[in-house]
Amino acid sequence: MNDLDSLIRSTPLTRRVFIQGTTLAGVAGFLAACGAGSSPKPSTDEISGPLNFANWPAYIDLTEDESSSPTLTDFKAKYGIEVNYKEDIEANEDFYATLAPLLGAGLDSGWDLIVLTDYMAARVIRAGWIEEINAANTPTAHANVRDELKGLSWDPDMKMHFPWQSGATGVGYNVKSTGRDLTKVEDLFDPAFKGKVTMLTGYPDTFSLVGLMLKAKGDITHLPADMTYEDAQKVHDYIKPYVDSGHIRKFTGNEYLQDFGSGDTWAAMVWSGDLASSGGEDDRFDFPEEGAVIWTDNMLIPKGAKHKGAAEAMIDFVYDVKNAARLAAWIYYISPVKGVADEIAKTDPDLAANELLFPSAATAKNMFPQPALEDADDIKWADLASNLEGA
Amino acid sequence: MTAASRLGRLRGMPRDERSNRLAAFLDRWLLKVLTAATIVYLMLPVLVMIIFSFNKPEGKFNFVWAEFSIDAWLNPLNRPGLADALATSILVAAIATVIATILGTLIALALVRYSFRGKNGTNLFIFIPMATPEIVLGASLLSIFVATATQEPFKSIIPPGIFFPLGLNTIIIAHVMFNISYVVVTVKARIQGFDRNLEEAAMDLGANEWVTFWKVTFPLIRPGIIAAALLAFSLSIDDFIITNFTSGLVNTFPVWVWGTIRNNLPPQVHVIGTAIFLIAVGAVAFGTWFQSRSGKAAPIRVR
Amino acid sequence: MRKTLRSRRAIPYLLMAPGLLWLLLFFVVPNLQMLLFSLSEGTLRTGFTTPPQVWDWQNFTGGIDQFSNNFRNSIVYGGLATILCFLIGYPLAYSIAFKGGRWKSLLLFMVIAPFFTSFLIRTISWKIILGNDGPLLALVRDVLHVVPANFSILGTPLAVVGGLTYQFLPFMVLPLYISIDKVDRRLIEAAQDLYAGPWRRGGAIVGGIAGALLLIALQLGLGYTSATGEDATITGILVGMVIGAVVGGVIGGYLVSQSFIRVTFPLSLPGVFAASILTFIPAIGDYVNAQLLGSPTTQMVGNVIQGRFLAQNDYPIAAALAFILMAGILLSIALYARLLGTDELTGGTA
Repeated sequence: MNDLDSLIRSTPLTRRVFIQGTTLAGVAGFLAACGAGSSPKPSTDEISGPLNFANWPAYIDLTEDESSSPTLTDFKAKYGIEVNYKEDIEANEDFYATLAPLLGAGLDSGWDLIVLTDYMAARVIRAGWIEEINAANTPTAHANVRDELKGLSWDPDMKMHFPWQSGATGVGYNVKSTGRDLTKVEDLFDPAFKGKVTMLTGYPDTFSLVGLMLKAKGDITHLPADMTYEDAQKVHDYIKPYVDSGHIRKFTGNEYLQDFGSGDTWAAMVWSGDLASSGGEDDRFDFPEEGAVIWTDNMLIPKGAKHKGAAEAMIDFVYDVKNAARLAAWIYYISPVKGVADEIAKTDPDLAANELLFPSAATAKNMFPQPALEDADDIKWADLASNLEGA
Repeated sequence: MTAASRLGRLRGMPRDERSNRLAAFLDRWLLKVLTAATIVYLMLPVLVMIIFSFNKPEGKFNFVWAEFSIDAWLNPLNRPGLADALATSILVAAIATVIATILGTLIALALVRYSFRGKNGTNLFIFIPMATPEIVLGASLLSIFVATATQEPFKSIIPPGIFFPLGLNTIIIAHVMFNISYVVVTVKARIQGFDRNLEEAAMDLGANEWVTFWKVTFPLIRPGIIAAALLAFSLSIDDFIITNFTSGLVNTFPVWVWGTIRNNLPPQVHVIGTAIFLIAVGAVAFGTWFQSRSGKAAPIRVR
Repeated sequence: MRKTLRSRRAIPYLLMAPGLLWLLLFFVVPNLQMLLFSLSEGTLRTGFTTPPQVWDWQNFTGGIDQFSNNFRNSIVYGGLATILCFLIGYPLAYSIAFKGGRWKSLLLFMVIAPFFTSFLIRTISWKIILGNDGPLLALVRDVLHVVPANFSILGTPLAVVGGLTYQFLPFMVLPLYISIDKVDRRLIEAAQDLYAGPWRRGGAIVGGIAGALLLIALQLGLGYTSATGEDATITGILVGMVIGAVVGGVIGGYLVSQSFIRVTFPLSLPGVFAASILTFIPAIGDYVNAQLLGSPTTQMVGNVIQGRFLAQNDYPIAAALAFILMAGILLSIALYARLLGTDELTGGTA
């Protein structure tokens, strides 16, 4: 008995996994021992692949036949490593839910680089689940990041994050279906569009945008970032009858693109660049009169990432002005990199004047950040949103 | 003539030839028409899938017919992640099928060939996983897998890497679990029909149990095992709900489709779907043929 | 002659051991863990406090209370889908068993063929068929003009029930077929020898009443959460009743014979119950149809369970809801086994 015990104790972890695996789970456990299942290794500065990169859909440039991405191809060529790029982030909450069990248990999440919106980035950094970014490996990023993106309360010195893109939440519509241009959030509640309207899941976008509408009507006084729970309750109570009557057909993440594609959605709350980069020719985006919501999605390196060096290389790579310009020109979002407008103007002056990429001063003044809530409030607000969503 | 009076006339003349002919017509055709309509209803989505694999959609979503094209068929894997997901699906289905078929066949043999205490209970126990909604199976597996990393006593007994993080191994465990019952039921149905006298004859001729099993029993139940393996493979390769709960960061083909449909639906999805459908149909056709052939041949060989 | 050794008696248990162990570890134990979570407090973010430290029954009572709409949707949609599956599936199963002839294998094959394609892709196909720019609306809206321009099928309870009916129809047809096929033909011949003929009037009355009731049930069931906002109206119900009665009457009058109602149907009844259970159970647990074809008002219990498990990490309530489903299923199987035995469900004891 003692022999067996000391044998198991003295064998390396992989061997123990192997023994238990074969007895407990047969072939499955065997695969685990050989494959991805080993414990997280300490991160190093060494640039080794593959870089496991989780991002949102429609958030990277593609070649004309859409089979590959020039940015990723160039990155692979430059560093000689593979990039395992997955469009796995559909909503901050859903992706957080896949990370939480792993990072909470102190395990490797399997990702080396992820992209989360401000409020969620703040939450995972607070939880201590994010690796510090080595400044020595990211000189381009530090030099080129736009000044107004620096100095955020949750990471003032860009130690843990770098912005990927910024964007707005506003009103998207198919002009052929609606038969007119939409200019206000309130247009989403036009009875003519009954059953053809979608909003976004979770509270940060939907509650902010409808909150701005109610503020314009004088029903609430706070901007989204300062909204109280009572304000959120008012927003909920305003939307609820439209859900019950079937006016709002769905709450979605990025999949509103799908319903625009099939003609089932005519008007929706959407993120600014999506319809321009991925929608049909009759799909439009509007910064609503009541105000639009502005947010930034940020690159983060999860704790225990195996290829931290490669993740830092990617961060630095996309802050190169040429690379950043190519990216922004394809995905139609607001680049966090200085000098992108000039770079794009060299080849495409029209695009350099596009409000989606480079909002004018007037538009920028009418854009407001989302609420950033503490955990306790977050749960209460999320319950309001989930009540609207029906599940 | 008003409808009412016409009806009155029919009622007045119950032997009216026209109503008789109508009755005869309905008697003869109503059931056939209903049957045909139901079959069409069952096959309609499959037909739509096949048709839309030849579509060249205008936008990013293959929802509306635009023009005929075989582009997607010429480049069936030309989407990032699709080839990997498909390979994972096939690997998972193959491993899960082998394990589930062996374990399930052993149970089926025990249930049919032996009488023992607790047989009825075992039958019912085997049945319950089949009757449990997939979401409960998936949710309970996720619960236990997460518990191995977060809850005592599992946390200190089970090293990380086997059940958590979720991945290939947890998908395979789940697929074997839900397939065992289907294998048992399928193999059992075949064994029930076979002639025990053949085994006894072999034993009387001096063969021991091991030889009897491999020379007599196994060839006789082989068609059932093949049918069960085919069923297990097709259930495994198509499963979405349970896989979605247990796959973590690994994509199988259905999980990949669920992810990609959010921002585009390329016709390649329909191409792969059609290909899987045609291969499955072919496999079943082959299985049926093989079974009918060996079903006829086996008794002759033994006798 | 043959020895009955002690070791021989162990053979069946040895054969079953690996498979049953697998089911024990990955079916029974996970459900127990889920039960444990359902009585716990906390989230993944905060960690869980499990029994015996706490026994949080609030997850059950509060869960039922908070998600009563979802439970109602599940039961109503699952029930309607089961009834529709029965009405569509019984004639098909009967027709394959009794009139199939040499087409029998092919017809049975066509019933299971849809299983050979991923059910996600089948549901996507329904999105294509029912979609705003799809063929069905092109016909009824653009050609026939019987519905207004902003009419949708997607996003309504009708789409969800339709999707469920489609998806679980084979679950109904196969057990029905097996049980109808087992009916002894000689009994039917005997009945016919005793002058059992067509059953026009009785069939028409039964069919008519069934048709009328079905249409009422459909209107009430689909109406109360109808995303088009129109509640079932008295006129609507009356019109539906008449249409249902006429169609049901014709089908009942011409399909149902005396030998069927006296012999075949009663003998197939255990199969009917078994098939209904096998259809209803997965239907109430489904969430993909409600997700892809439904709207916020048509979400079912399954949607809550998957959302809480996979998006909000709120395991306790999700586990409680899943366990309620599981308990309901165990109860209905136990009830069935008690009343009718287990043979029909488990494919015979052999």
